[in-house]
Amino acid sequence: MRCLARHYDCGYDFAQTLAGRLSEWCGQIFEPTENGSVKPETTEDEIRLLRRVARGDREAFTQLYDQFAGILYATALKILQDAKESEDVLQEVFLQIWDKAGNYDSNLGKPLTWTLTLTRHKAIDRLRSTQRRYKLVEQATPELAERQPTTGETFDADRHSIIRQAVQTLPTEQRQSIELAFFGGLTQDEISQNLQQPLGTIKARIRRGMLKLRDTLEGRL
Amino acid sequence: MMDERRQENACLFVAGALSPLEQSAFEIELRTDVELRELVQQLQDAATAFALAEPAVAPPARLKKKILAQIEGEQNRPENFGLLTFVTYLRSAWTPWAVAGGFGLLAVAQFVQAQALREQTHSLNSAVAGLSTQIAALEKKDEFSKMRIAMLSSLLDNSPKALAVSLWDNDKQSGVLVVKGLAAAPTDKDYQLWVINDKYPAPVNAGVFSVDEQGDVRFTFKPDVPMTSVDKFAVTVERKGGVPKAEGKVALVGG
Repeated sequence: MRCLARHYDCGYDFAQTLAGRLSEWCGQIFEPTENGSVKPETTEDEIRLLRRVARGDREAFTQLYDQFAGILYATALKILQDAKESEDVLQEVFLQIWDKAGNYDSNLGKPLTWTLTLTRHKAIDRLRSTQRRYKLVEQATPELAERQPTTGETFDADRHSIIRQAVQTLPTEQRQSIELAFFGGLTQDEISQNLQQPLGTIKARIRRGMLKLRDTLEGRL
Repeated sequence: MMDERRQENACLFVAGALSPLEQSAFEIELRTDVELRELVQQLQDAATAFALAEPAVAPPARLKKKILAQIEGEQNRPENFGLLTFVTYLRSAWTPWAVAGGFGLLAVAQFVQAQALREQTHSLNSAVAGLSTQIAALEKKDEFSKMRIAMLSSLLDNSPKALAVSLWDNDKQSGVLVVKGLAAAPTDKDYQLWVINDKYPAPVNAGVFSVDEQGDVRFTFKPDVPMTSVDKFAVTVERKGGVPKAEGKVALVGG
């Protein structure tokens, strides 16, 4: 799975610069992007937008689409590796947002987290229903296992790159286990079988990786 | 300080690495554990980094138009389909045929549903061989059709093959739980059954029980409060005599 392996292309030499960059990143992360998605909103703005959508405000819905579609589509693409299916998922997600925005509870997470969860679940359900994931995992696993971060690669100041680097601060085996679950839709048992590692090892990798990521990004997302 | 097991389960839950059964069990814990909910929320926010690490990809412009057209259509539909249209429709010469057809379809649907129920019962009987006699006793048509049947699987390491079937009668607001092969609870503990429905903020107590030497029990239960319906059942290991709010380890879960 080529796109999973992309994570492993970048170097690890950013660690020194990351701490300094993270503070800049807070200001940069929601700047407009080249591909047209617009991110000027704070979480509070997004919550207000969702509330307007819940009241049937089409303009708010359009704004929300412009804001989230790029990220959600990229996530669906990463999981499904198929543009047509990813479009179908995105369509289902936005129709669900339109119908169920009233169910969104800001106490349970940010709007982006909510919409990402909807997208992931729909994409993974689709992946499972087509029984393709095992094939994808088979393709991904050797690459994931083999690809090690290299040093000396160009540090990309782009905001996505900075986040990617934050993810890449995780040791490869932790990131690999999390990604197989997060994007591959595999359960802990399936990851254990695929990577031929004891279940306890997989559990520990996911726990350490998730907690480390939380600590690294605390207050920055 | 949160124990490692809960922390680990929260991480596995957010990463999406729990099986459906484990996920159900964890969701039960989440309902009653504020600290755990906070951790899950923090982890979910952090997990968005995995998605944000990917460069955003603009979907085709036609998709936005398609979605907007679809929601526009939904908004217009109720206005266009007015009372007058409905009355005209009812008066049409085809109405009797449509009604007859509708009944026909309903009959077919009921037949299919009954067929599906029979198949479900069959697979349940094979899976829980020892329980088939007790289930068969309840297969009198009238009684059985009102029952909600749920199979519960074990999450316990000491009895991974334990199984249970719960038969719930919503009219009578009571049910029967039949358990097979569940290891006895520690001497200072009891098994406690919970019924779960989204309308209730927390799992509702349905009583405590213990198993015999073979790990079997047939337990008639009645939840503490009336239930409009039941989504799931769970059995936890709790202090002797039971607790008002689930706090122990989940032993069996299903729905």
